[in-house]
Amino acid sequence: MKGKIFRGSISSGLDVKLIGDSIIEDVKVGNFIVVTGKKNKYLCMVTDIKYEAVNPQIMISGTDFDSEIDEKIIEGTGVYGVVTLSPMIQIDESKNPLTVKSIPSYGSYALDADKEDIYAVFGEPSEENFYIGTPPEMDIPICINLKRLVERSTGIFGRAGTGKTYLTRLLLSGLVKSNLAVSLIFDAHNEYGYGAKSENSGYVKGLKQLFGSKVAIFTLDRESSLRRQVPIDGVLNIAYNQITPDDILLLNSMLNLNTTAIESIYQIMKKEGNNWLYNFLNIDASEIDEYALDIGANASSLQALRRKLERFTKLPFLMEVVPNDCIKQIMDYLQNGINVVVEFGNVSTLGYMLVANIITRHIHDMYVKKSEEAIANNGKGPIPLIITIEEAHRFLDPSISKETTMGEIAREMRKYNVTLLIVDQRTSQIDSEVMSQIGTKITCRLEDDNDINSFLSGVNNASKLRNVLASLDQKQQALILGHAVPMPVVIKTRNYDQEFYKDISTYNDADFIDKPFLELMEKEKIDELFPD
Amino acid sequence: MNHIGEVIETSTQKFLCQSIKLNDGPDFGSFVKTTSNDITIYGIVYNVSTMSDDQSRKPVAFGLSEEELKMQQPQIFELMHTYFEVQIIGYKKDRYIGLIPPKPAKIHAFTYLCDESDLKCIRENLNYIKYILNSKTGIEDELIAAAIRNLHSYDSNEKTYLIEVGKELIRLLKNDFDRYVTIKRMCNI
Repeated sequence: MKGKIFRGSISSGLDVKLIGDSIIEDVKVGNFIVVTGKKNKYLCMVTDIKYEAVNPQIMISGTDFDSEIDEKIIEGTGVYGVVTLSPMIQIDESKNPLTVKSIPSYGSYALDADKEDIYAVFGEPSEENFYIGTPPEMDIPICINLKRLVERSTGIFGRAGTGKTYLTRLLLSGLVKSNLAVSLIFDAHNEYGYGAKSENSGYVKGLKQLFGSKVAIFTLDRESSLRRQVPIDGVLNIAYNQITPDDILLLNSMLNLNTTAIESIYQIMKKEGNNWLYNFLNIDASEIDEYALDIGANASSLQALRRKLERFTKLPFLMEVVPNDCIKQIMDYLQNGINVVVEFGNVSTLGYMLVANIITRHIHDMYVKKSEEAIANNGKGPIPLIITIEEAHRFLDPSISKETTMGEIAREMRKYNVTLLIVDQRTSQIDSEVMSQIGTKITCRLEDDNDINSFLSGVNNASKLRNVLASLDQKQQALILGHAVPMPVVIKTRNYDQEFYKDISTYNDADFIDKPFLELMEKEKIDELFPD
Repeated sequence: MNHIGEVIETSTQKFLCQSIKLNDGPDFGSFVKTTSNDITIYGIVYNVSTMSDDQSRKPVAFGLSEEELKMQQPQIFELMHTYFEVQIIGYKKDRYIGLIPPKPAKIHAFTYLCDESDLKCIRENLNYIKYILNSKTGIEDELIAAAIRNLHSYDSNEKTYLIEVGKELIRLLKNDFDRYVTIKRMCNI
């Protein structure tokens, strides 16, 4: 497009009149436009498009004609296209990107941004700058700064089927490759670790296939993993004594416990110690009354509690004694910079939440300790950790987010080098306090008004971005804003395909794509044993 | 080239010519030129009339055909003349300039119809639209429509030309869109 600035203000943005052969239909909300002022360049985003007329009468009567000539006469003279731009970044004469503090001179030209402009703002693809997509209408890589990304929590949102998983997969691949942080991924739907089915193109590779020994897969459901032929690095089992009353509290929404029941849990714990859950579940039903008397609880409420807690016995990964401490093993991997994917197989949501919370709690403790040690020794803190959680609202719901470790991490753990990568469908279900702490927000299409509102809460220029957000495509388009990008940007997500594999994978062998994974693993092992 | 009239009243904006033939002046809306001193002045014919030389003597109806009149009352044709009034739209001095000339046409200068190269110059400078619209001739709308009709079909880019003219008209008539619509209809293209 080509246009000239004819109206504008800092608060309401810049209005550009389309000139020349520009067709209004070619301008799309979210497009990048560069306005070249006398001293500065302004990189802007299209936030609104409309008609205006020199005289309102022309707008109405102008439609009475229908010859091509008449249309051409009126277009651009009587009635013209106006594109509203929101200036996002100002580039001064020495090419420094700055926040916008001025507006371009009257009559400045507005043109589509080119490669140079976009690189000047988003940087060129590099180790630190991860190529995540292109502008919807152009073929120029837009990069997200991974170093900044890992400094704060990140949120990926979008309705079902809009490409959240794709985006998450892309981002995680970028993070694994960059070595800037280590990831712990709670893979509720078995989509990230190893190959998964995609919605249209059949089969896509998982992180393990792309990065080999840089990624370890743990599973909670061994059978499911074996059926899918996933090369697992460990089976994750949890011992009853690793479960604390707080873990149960987190599951309250599913277990439906009342306050008396929660009090009873503490009473039981007081008597039984760490192994309270196992012992309590193994009390004979007939002895409950006596037991209630013993600990000073109400017998019928204790019975109800037992019935509810019995759901735990159905979780396949819960054991009285675990063969090895998998949680410790996961910690070791993470500390050595190996990314861990925890697959849940067919484990229920209850299991997912329980395990995610227990592991997170341990990580929390470990990172706090490590960071404190680092402060004492004036050394470097632990390697930044990103915890990816799906269905994040289950942990960050306003009613429980104050209690859960996830909530705590989201709010204050960045000081200890732990951040979250939240993947969720509904932003409105997440505690607003947590939402406001998210550094980088990425969203695919959202439709619910509440979700849009909570996504945009605390965002500068929210009303303008609303139009942009509402116009995202159903698939493969996302709006990124926040800490890791210098300005809000709409992208067409990069394809997660063979080309991407080649670009990102540690396997430099060109034909790795078609090779069976296990063969590659073998080769890798041999190479490690006998280096050149 | 033969002249079609002679300037008998002149000003910087308009001039009046006497046609050399009775009842056979130039068409309404046709472009004419007159050369005086070193400039050629261009204008558009907006009023053609035939009347008696002596304003105090009104012609009377004889009830005869033209042939019979010529036989019986030949003096009438000597006492009557056809006049045409011209609105100036530009002048040429080295090149065509779409502005009012610095000096009026000389009295008794001959008037000629514009040829193709003149029309081409007029056509290219859209200022004529403004002069005609503001000419206070009383028939501005009809006159501009006639001018556009005469100029538009002049070369192969007629569509492009009509769009350009239309845009100029809208610019000038943005506060009176109905007038634009009327003129457009009168162009009847």
